[in-house]
Amino acid sequence: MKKYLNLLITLLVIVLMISTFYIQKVIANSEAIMLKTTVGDEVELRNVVIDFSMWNRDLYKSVRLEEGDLYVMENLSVLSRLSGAEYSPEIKNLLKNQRSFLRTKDLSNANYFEDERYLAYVGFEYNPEVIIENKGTPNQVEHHYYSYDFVIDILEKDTNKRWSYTVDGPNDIDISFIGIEDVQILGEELKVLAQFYTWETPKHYQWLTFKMANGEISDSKLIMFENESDEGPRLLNDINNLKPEQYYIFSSGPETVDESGNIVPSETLYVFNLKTEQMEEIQIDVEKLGYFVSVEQSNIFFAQREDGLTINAYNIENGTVETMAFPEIKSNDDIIFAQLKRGKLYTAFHDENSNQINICIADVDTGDLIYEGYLKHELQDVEMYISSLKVF
Amino acid sequence: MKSYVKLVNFEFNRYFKIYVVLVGITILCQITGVIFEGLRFVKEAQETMQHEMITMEQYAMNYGPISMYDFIETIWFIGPVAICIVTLLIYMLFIWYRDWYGKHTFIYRLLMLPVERLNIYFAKVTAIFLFVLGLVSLQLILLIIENNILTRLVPEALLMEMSITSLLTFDILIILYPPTFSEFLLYYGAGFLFILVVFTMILLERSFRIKGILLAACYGGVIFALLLAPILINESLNDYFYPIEILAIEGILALMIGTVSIMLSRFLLNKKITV
Repeated sequence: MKKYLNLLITLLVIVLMISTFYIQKVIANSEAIMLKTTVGDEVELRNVVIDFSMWNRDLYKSVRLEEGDLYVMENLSVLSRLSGAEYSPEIKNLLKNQRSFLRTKDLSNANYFEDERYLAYVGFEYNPEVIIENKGTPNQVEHHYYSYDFVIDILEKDTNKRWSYTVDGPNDIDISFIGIEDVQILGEELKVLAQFYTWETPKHYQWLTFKMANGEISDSKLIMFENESDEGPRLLNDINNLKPEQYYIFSSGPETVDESGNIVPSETLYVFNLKTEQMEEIQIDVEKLGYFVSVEQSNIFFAQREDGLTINAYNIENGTVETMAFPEIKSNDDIIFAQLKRGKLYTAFHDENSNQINICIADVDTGDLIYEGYLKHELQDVEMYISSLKVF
Repeated sequence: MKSYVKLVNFEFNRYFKIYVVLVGITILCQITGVIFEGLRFVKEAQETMQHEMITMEQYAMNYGPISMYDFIETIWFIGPVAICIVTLLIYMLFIWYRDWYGKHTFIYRLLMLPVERLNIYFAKVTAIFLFVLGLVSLQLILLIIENNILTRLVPEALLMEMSITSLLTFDILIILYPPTFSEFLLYYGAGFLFILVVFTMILLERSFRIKGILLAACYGGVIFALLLAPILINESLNDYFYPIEILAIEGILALMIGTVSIMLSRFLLNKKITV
């Protein structure tokens, strides 16, 4: 045995150190954050995804609450990460159901559209271009830039029929970047809302129409605003939404962000009707409605913190305001994330006093609380901030 | 199995003295380094504080506190790590060639042992791998000790305390200590494959001498091209395959390469090797 001593000691050190290191990592990661339910059942969270981050001195970790389970993104195994665990829930769902369609494509929500009939994708191919001035002279100057080609792919889900095109896009030295904000299918046409960033002029939104039959660009509209702030117009719709939209809501005038981070929109909002392609200006009473929460179909939702939480739904089509009161949802002055789905209000907000993220689900008709719970780190000084709330 | 363990122990002990020297150099350099760097920082900070009439807190605010990260960027830390890596790389060749070129042509005796010859190959692979893992474990212990030393040497106000977990997310340390165990298996599995391929190349050279050098170079080149092929093909296909699929393809390829390397080495050791 003595002659094996060196080998045994080395083996012991290796096994002890490496196993302790990884076991300690698993223990340190697993017990630190917890979800506690105070009202209702955790089953209510099955369609809820909350992305948030944790901060503490040298610690920064992004965490996702999905189907009631917590995933620390930094601790995901390489296999989970390579399998796409970090993608948005919408993309993860598409990867599961339409894996073949998503091949070679950017996996960003804004590039996709999905309804019951179609799944569509619009992306870009970048081609390096060069313009040579004073060619062959000592003053020769080369200007390098990229031209854009649209890559379009549409799938009819029932028949598996596909339309795939690469369409010549803008070739303009003044364009520094084009971002796709939303993709829609209306009738037999594919519509794209893109934001053009230019060197010389302010950034602007362009509404492009492609014929589904041949991919040809049939129309390209510049979306104009009467009064633009220095920052330019801003789309208030959730660009991560893959589903059909009826209206785009733009905030163009100066908007403020209150001390909690909530957006107090300008009093003038611009409503772009996707069907008629007409822009309409609406005036809202910010003081009466509260701060902006979300846009869904023909409603713009605002929130106020008076006697609990009040959600005001401004109907774009008739200008009426429906008020929904949720007296049991006690939020303080922190930023609030809210979504209304299937007759329920889903909210998540950071509670600064107890340094936790509160989650509340309430019935829209009665205002009663269906679920209440919170996310908390076991160390009191770890700060937690929400980055998104999604309900499916 | 018994003969394999005996051979591993034998190979391990043959290098153990040099290994102890490596361990000694690492411990000495890093511990001396952390003390030296810590004291130097405190001395410089005191001089500056006296000269500028500022407090420790103000010094930390103006010039920044010291942390373990500052130490791992110094030659005191990087030097011994580099020496260990280079020595082990050289020893990968030395472990075979000294059996031919050392005293009494030791390979003759090794090959005459009444054991499966592949055991010699595996014993050498295991010994190298244990040396690597041993140094990786030692470095982990040293990091904990160095962190403690720095905490004791530097006043709290001038120190940015770092947990070992956050320290291990930097530079080379994230490769030595992958964040998850599955990544550890992946990285060190790739290292294991590298040793198998290099050993097979050495055996090719030992079997066919001058022609063997060419064969070994071709073998290494083919393996490199094979492992790179899925990535290049995927790039030419505009990233057709998902990352997990590329990993699966690479995994299958690695298994195939590992198996072929072992089979080829077995064939060479049994039929072609000459002393």
